[in-house]
Amino acid sequence: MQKMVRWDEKNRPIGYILGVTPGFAEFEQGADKLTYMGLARKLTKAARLGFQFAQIDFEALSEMFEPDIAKQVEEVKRVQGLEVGVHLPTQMDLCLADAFQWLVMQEQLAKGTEAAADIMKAKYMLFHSSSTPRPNLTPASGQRTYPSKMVAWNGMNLGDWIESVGTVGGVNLKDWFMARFVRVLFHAMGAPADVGMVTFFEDLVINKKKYFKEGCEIAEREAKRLNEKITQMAKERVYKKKKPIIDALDRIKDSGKEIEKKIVRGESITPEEHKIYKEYKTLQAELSQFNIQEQSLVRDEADNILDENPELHNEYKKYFNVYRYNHTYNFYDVFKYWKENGSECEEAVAYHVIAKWMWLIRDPLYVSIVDNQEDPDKIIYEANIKMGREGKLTEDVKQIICAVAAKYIEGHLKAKGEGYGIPLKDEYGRFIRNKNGEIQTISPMEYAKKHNLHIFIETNMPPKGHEGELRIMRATDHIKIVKCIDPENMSYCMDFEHLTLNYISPEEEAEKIIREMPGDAKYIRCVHINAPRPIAGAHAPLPQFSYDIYIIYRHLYKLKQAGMNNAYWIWEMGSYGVKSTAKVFYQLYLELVKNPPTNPEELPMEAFGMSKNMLARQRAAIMLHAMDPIKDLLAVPEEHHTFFSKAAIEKGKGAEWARQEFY
Amino acid sequence: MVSWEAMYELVGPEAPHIGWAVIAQPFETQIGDLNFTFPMGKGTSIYYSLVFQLPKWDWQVRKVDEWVDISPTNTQYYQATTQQKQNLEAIIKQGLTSAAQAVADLELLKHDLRRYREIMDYIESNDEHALKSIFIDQVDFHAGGTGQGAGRLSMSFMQQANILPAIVSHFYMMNSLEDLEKHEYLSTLPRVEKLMLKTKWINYEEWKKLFCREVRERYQNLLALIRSRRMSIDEYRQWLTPYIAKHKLLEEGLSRPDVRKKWATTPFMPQGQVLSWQQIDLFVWYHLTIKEISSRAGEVEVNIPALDDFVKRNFIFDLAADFPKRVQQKLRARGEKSLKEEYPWITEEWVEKTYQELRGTRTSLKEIEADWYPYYSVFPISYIRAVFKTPDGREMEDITFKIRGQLWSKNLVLVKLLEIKAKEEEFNRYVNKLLGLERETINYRREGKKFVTDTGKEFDSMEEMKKAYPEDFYVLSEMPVEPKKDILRPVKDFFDFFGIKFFFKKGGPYERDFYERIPNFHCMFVGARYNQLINFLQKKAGVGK
Repeated sequence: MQKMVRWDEKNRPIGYILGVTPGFAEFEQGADKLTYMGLARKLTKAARLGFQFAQIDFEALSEMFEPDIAKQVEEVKRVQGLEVGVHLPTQMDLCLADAFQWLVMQEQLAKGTEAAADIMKAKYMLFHSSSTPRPNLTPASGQRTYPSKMVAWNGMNLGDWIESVGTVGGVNLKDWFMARFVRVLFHAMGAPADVGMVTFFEDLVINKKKYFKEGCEIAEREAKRLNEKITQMAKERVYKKKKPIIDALDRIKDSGKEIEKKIVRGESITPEEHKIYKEYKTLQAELSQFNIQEQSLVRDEADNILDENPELHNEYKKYFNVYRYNHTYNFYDVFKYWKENGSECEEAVAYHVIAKWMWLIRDPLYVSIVDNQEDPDKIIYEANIKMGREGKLTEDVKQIICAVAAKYIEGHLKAKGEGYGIPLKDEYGRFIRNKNGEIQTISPMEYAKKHNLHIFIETNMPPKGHEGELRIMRATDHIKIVKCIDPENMSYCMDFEHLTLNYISPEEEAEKIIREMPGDAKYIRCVHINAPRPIAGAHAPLPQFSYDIYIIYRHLYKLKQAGMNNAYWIWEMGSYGVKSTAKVFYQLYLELVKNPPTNPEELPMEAFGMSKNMLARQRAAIMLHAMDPIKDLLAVPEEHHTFFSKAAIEKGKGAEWARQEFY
Repeated sequence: MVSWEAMYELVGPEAPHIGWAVIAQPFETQIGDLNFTFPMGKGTSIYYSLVFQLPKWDWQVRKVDEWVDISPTNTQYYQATTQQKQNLEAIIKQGLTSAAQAVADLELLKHDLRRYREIMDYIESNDEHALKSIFIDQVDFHAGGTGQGAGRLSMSFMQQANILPAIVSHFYMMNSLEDLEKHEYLSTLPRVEKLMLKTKWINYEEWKKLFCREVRERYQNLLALIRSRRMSIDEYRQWLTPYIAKHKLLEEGLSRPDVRKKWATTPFMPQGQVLSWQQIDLFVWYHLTIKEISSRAGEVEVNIPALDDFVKRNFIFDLAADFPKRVQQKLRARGEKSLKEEYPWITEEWVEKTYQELRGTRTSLKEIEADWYPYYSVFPISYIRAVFKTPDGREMEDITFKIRGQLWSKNLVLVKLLEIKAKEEEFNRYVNKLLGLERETINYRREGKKFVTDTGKEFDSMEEMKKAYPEDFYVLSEMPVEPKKDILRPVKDFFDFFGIKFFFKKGGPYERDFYERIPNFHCMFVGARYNQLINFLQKKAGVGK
């Protein structure tokens, strides 16, 4: 085929390397399933498909535990002279915040990295960037997820991590979290969230940039102030009712006292005086009674005032509610309880938290992926309430999710420590421990780097019905991710079929790269190529003479224009066999490496498989069968084998000739 | 077959005599047992004397039937006849196998010729669409193939596998290579398809030249082959015919139901004895010349041809079509058949042609001498020869002549002669049948809108009938005779029911005054010739010496 395949010092391809995946053994038919089961056996199949390089799929990580698998693989590689890449399990998803999932994925990543480096001694390992639809940070941005124990991007308990972050960008993350997600704390108590509380803090966080502690203070202060104000108003109203009695009493108070003295002295009083005295005593009794009821009247009046002034009432209730809850419950204890019980919440909450933090610290992933650099609190809040009116906001939220998902990938790649990282071993295979007896570990990323194992992230195909809903999909986003995480040891693998399945045109992506990220297609160091059939799992071969050849070449040509000069071209095997794909790859290769590369609209016949050989064989076949229309005649049939096969027939090899005539 | 008895019944003395035909059998001119017993060879000599003498009298003679039966105890004769027949059978069987192979080969060639003809038609009519079809389905189909399904370099495969789903249609649309650049639609096709169509078109043009040239040449070769194969079949036929003829002529008496039946009870055929039995039937006739006939009022049209509508309708193409149904039914019950019923293949053309062959002229007398001889004396003669060999070694021949002297009008003679000719021809047909070259003839009549075969099957249309009787195996022959539109038929049938004769209103050209004239004039001559015949045989037998 072409000249020998080459790699640079970091095991990145130099030029184009044409490779194949032999597919899953479980999709083989009948006995072939057994024949190709296991990493080494799959490799033997790949070696016979006519390509220069093999990408081996892990169907299950347990494949790495086949006894002596490393020896088997080494032997096959040596005999076949074939280098390999490793595709980690397709269901791997490093973007999940669910604690258990995160742990499972981390284990797969760690073991997969070990297998790729130590067993397969691969040139690269590849995993899908995201396999699960987005969480619903807003109703329109993703699907609702179940509440579960959550971790932060780096695998820490979410609550623990929130506390550990402390204050960033002037914001205490815990303080922010308790305000923004007070509903999570209510849920931790097993109670429905109080809407007044939630909305109070939401408003505070989004509009006033104030968080839980200050919010509580505000609420208390305001509640008290309003209470005083209303009481005063009520008192005034009560006094207005009381004053006529006082005034009336004051008018006759002196006369009344004089008359009372007369009565005490036993002096007679006039009827007029009697009347005055009676009134005096009545007023005295009324006032006394009023004084006794005054508190109650003030309260009643306060109620009346609230009834008569809804706005005042609402404002009062808002603050009073918060004040009351805050005095009823100790939310700091609730947070503690929540954290200590695994930080249970919906995944959207975890994503929101990480997004806020990334925004606060100006995380490069966030900055490069998210166009709208406003506070994510505000974006999410507005996207929520303006759904159906301002679709752009939903797109902003999707970018936020993409950035957070990328952060989770970074977290996985960089996670180390017992249980997360890859244990270091000595030459005898024993774990290396520190002086405290703890096992020494290394992150998958460091491990890969150490073994010159390049890392590829690839857009996955979506579950049926969730096309276009994966967390990370676009080529441009993937390139940004690899640039942020490790541009030297990490690249993007563009899968044409997977992109189109997610409603993304590979060519439009290439054009976007040319337009907005010139030259950055160099980070696309792998393309997965199948005939363009955007149906999940199609993985169709590329037929000779087909329009598919033109389409695929157009994609490749555009990517080359965007800067993709060094890359694996991997054809992924489905259930339909390889057919002419290896040849087609080579035909495309020849045109693309020309200087300048052939314009897709001017592809020569050879690029479509119409080589001189093919034309000669076609002509030979047509001439061989030229007389076939009169072959089946009864009396004077045209001889089936014609003169070409005379010698074969004379030797009794007519049937063999018929089978072999084109070989 | 129409026996003379049937004729006698229809136009004999007991029939209404209105001149459409005449047959008369005087009581005096018949003998059933002119029997002689001779030493071996003498009886045979008399037979030969007779058949040599008859032409000398200018009488016409034909053998119309023959059979032989030999007891196996007559070893010598049995070997000479029955054994010979078995040998003939073996030869015929072998010959038939070869001939059948030749016929089969011819059929194959004819099939091939049809296929070539079809292609030749495409070529000659410049039918590009058909040629493209052949190219796509039968030639290009194999490009890149390994024998199973369409080859992967073929347009059929590219279409089936959806690689270039419309390439076949587009190929049909092409008229030239230029179309790929200039045709309004074809020029807009994807580049890959245009490139592929270009290669296919170039190959198509090349193939077409080669193929058409080859087909033309082979077509001529095939025609020559067919001619040659036909000749070889003719050769087979010629070669086989005498063997079959011999075999056919060596007909054993026991193959006939009537003989079998008779042999079971006859005292003359003791199977334990050495004996043989042979019967030959002769038909002998000679015209009558009667001076008076032209001067009598009843015979005004004696010069009319022998082949007339009456015999066609009542003896040749149908049986007693002009007679009451009861008569027809009676004859059929006796096994009587018209000529056409006996030999379904005969047609009007054949009858006319044969009649002309039989018909003599004034200067060249033939079987039917000339139109002006309206009557014939006719002698059906049966010659029965029995050979006995007694245990003491003596052999003797016992011969019996059964002779009738009759008067026939010429149209009836013609019927008999047509029958003899048909029998001769049937012989050839028999050989062809054995060779598988003969198609069965199905006679039919149109009855209103229906087509009714003589076996009674009805069809609503000709197409339906052709479907039931494919052309490859059957010849459909329309019966030319339609029942006369006889408005008197109900009346005739009415009278017939009560046994009252209803006479034809208009008479025919022959003698109508039967009892006044036939016995007095016509039968006189018959009697004289009968006596001449009997005298000859008696003299040869030495009677009275």
